[in-house]
Amino acid sequence: MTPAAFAYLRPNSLPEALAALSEHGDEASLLAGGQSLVPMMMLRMARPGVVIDLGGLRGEAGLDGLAAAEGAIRLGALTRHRWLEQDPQVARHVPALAHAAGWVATPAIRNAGTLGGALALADAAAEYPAVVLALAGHLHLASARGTRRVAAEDFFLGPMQTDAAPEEMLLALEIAADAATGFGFCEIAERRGDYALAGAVVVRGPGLPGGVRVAVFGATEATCLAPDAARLLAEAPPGDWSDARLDAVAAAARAELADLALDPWRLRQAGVAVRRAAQDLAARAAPGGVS
Amino acid sequence: MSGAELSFTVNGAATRLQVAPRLSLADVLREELGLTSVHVGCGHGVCGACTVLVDGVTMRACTHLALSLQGRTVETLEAVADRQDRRIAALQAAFLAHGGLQCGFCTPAVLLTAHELLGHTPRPSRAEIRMALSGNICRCTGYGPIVDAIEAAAQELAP
Repeated sequence: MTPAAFAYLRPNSLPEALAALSEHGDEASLLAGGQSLVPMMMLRMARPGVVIDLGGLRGEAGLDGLAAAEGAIRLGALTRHRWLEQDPQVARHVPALAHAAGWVATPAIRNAGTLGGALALADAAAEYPAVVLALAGHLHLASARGTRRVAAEDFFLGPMQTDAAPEEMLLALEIAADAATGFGFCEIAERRGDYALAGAVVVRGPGLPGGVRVAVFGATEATCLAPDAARLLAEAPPGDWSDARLDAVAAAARAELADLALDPWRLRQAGVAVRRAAQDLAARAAPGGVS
Repeated sequence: MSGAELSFTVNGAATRLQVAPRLSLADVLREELGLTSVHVGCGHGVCGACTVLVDGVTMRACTHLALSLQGRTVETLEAVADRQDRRIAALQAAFLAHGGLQCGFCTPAVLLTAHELLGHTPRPSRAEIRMALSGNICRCTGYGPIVDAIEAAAQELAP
């Protein structure tokens, strides 16, 4: 397969990249790991007039890997999935993200694809937007005019839609260090590595709004929070999450997601995913539980 | 040919080519450099048949624009199999012994994937082997003999 013709630019610095983006804006696509963009171009679902390859920016400070800031973890947009999956600091301070990274596609794609690429794409079946919404993270954006910081809930606007303007580039993800004291994760797919048919992330921690947050992906038109399910989970410690409570949590998730679900079967699976993610959190929280 | 200059290392050799922007790494490796272990199945990152090593880790050649490999190091199975590497030799022998291939279309990519797996996980469980193979589609073997072969190679390399 071969994409439609395009002009190829390879800036060597962040200012050069932002200048190219401000010049070409709407008709440009940023190429990071390329594991979604290139297949979409091959299938001609994407036909950018200009491709701005960010490969020349890998040496720029803050764009690749982790930087601990004041009370927060900052991860560069060009950080690859495989690195997130394996880095001990990410595992210690943002374990939900490290765990989710291991569920992104298959190994050779995780070696190439990036955190920023996945977040900027905002695919409703993707893991990271759900994790970042659940953890109430922030996104750092830059354009030739300056930088800004956006809360996840204001960044993810819908399927494949974000608050980033055409001339803006995602620089980094920021999450409060140790935002969650526990997490649970569930993804339902036909095979490991396939697109999620339904998935859920549950996080719990005193610093999180509401104490417990639940985010759903795959089953709905867009990644979304399930606050009613989260409220029921916040009423009791994980050790006391009975089957009856988990059934009520799944029912609450189904009720609040009904209008957003892709179809009735997916809605049912969303309830299953939320239930299993809560069970996963409780198992990890139990003495001797999996980390 | 129009395009930009691509300068990278392929199987140990410094390589310079004029490349049109819309060509993939798989196109360039096969058509320009004759490295035919890089098979193109689906052409959009699903089947895994075009797996190569980029800077030492497996990646898909079909989902990389060739020009994005500027300055990087690419190795195909041709080079990995030619170097004195016990791991790939043990895997190749085990695939033959256990019938880990039939038509062979997916085999170069499966070998590179297994080679990477045994590099970081010398004694994988069968579940870990299957997980590692989740990005490589084989339509002949049903995977059983492939898993057997990788398990046998691991046993031989790290008894």
